[in-house]
Amino acid sequence: MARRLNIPGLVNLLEVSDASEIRQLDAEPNIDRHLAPAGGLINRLRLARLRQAFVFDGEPLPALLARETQGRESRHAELGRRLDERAEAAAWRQDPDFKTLVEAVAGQAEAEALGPAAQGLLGRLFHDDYHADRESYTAARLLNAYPRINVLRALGQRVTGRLGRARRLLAERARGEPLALHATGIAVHNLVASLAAMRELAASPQAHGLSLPAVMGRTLSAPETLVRRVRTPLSTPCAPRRLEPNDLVVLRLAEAARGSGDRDLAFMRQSWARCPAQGFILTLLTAVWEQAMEVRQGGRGA
Amino acid sequence: MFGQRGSGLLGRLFRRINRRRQWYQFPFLIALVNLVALRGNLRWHNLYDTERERPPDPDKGDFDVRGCRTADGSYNDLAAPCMGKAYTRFGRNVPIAETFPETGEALMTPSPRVVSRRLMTRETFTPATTLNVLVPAWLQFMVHDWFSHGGNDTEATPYEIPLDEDDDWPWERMTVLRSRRDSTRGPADEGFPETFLNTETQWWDGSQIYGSSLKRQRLVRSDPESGELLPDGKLYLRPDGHLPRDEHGIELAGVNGNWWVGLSLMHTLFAREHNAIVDRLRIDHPDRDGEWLFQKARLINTALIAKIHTVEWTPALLDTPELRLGMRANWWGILDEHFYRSRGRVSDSELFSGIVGSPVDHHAAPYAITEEFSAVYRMHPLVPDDFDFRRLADDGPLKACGLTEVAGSQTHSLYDEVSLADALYSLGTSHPGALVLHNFPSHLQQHAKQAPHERTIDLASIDVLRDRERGVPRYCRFRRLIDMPAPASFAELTDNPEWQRELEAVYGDVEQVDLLTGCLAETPPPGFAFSDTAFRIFILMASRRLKSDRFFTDDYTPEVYTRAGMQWIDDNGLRTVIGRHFPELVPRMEGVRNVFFPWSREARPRE
Repeated sequence: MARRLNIPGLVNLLEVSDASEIRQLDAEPNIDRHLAPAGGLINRLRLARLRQAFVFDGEPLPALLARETQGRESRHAELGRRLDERAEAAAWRQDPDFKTLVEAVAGQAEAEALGPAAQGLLGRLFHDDYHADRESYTAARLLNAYPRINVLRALGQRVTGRLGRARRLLAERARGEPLALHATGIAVHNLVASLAAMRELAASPQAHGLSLPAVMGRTLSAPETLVRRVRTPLSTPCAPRRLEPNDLVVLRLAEAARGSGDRDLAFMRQSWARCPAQGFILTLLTAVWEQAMEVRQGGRGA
Repeated sequence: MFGQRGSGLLGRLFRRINRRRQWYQFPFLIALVNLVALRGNLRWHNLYDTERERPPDPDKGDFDVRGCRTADGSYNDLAAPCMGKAYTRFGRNVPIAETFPETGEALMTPSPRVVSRRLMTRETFTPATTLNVLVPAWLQFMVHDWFSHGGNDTEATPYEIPLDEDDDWPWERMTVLRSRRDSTRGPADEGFPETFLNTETQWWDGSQIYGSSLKRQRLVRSDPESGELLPDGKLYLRPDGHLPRDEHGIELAGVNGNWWVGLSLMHTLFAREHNAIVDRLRIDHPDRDGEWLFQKARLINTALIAKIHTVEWTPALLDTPELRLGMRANWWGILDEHFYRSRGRVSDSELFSGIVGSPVDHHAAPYAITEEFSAVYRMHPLVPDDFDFRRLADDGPLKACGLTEVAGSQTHSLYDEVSLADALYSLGTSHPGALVLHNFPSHLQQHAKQAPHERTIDLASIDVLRDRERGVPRYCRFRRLIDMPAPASFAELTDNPEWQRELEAVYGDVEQVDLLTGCLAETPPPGFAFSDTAFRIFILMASRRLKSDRFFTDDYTPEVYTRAGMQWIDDNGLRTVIGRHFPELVPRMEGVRNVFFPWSREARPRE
């Protein structure tokens, strides 16, 4: 299902939305994350947007680091361990924002409450006094959307300083820690999308008859796309023609995960770029769903 | 720009346009382009694979897999020999994450029996007056070729269907056996939705005639007296031209489940056609043995059936200028039959020269019949309850009876009173039921199944239950997943105010409406015998059955089919097949544009 867009000097990219092809390309050592300007004009513009949004103090956020970056793997492993412990300890169940999430999914609080609550809950995994509000969540939405908005809007956001202010606000709240910044600025949107889908599902007549895997299957939200860059010439069965250095490879993760029903793919579990928060997110979503269903049935819930 | 592996700009454009306006609301040419775009989108966004581990390649022995169809459907795709083989999984038309089965309370909400009684029950027969009863006969003949879920699970605890207090079900409880579980599931399937095996070959390969295993194939090719394989490559027919019978007294065929007179006629007709093809091939190939003749005749007979389905049956049900051209274009391309027959293909393009003979392409997923396809092909309202058999010679009455009397092992008894030609004539001049609510055959709503399954069932309840059990999304969700707008109310679902009230009383919420119920309630496009919702799956899968099959694409050549074989397929249709084996029926079909339209009941003198 790979689609190739190739206009020399302008754009060279391969889009992939098949689960097995995504795995195959992800495992390919010659395809990596790399944000330095290269390739056709549109490739360069696309990379520039990513840099403008996600590079802080000259350092890309963790989800954009190349695979061989020093310390990346160990930091990820450490974070994974920490989050797994947190998931098990379940202290977050006492967090007031957890209650807000349950109520919002159960339809007893506004959907708009999901964003700040999810951001706050994630932020406090890193800093106990992390504070999220509408302003910080709006900043996160602006940051996350920036690479995909049209050129004029992007220019406007840069010229008026909106992008800069959003970045500063998020960095301040996360105290400049890249992992916290990534969680509260980028990853939070997948969590919010999952919770919003849960809210919709919970309101449907079928909700009570669905098994937990079915609920997760229908609501779990993966990142829309992951962007990689070709390092050396590469022939792959996933592409009709040989890939050349600096071609962009866009892995359409959300579409593939939904199409294949593969929950592990949503978190790139078997990948070098796996999400360290898989265990935590699944535990959190399960708890929110179960309690929201209790609330809807008139139980105590959270 | 984007290469051919994608739905393309046209697809994206019409995706946007169709949010406001559907294809059939456009003038002819735009509607046609819209249909091409729709199919492209569906090919790339609505095909999902359920096989997670490649099964081991089957042993092909010394069988000529390149030049002939294997009995079990393997080696159609030489690079993936198990693709489409019997006992492989059904695929899906909606994302896998959407296919978890309904369980617990939801599975029985509302009770399938309540849906059956209140929304399906046929008080008076609503006929489809533009069609004849060969339509349901043909449909079932085809379905038996493409798929079966096999026998149900007799060991698992059956489902118990809640009954209303005033239900007239003759027993205290209504139980339904569960679908048989997929025995091939492994660790890789953990956490994924249920999968189900298709016990027939998934290809369009005539397996309803020839069977989906070598054992079954040998059975239909053998003389039941001696048990010997017929040496001439023919299918066994009794001296009186009828099919032989199996141990249950049902006529024998590759697939003979749910047998009734319609199936009996189709099977007899195409068994005779097979033997006629063998006779023709022997003229050109006198030195070839019976095995070769059988295999080549199978290929040719199967392609002829596929052609009839594509350019005759489907346009009968979708009788609009766009679909008449569209379905012919699937076979011959938009340059049409006369160009194809005089000049051949102009290119590999399926648009200009048809899918048949174009390069094979599975698009987004390996080939398999899908659960959703089997769901939208639940068309039992087509079957009438009462049959009125009449004499071909003068249209005089011969026998009037109910469906049960012409089904199962009782079918062949009919032929003591009614000849095959009279039976064909009678079906050709009678109307099937319309695909609407309140038109489910009464006989099937309380249907006593004969040996070997002896139990009484309500097929309408089972139809509803199976979709829920197999994770087929309900109507509104299903429409969204195939990129169609979903109705926000019962009034948007159907124009019929009475049905709106009834649906609301049963379901309460339009989101709860089952796919089957929604398809029967929906107001179809003008000229259509079934819903636009079902049509979307047809437009995808009808093309796919051809486009994925090597014997309809890369190997649709005289080298594989023989020159005489290609000529046979080109020269024939259902009219000539019936005419060859029942010449006395030819005058009845004269003047009828499509053999699936009602035939003339007035005898015309032959010139």
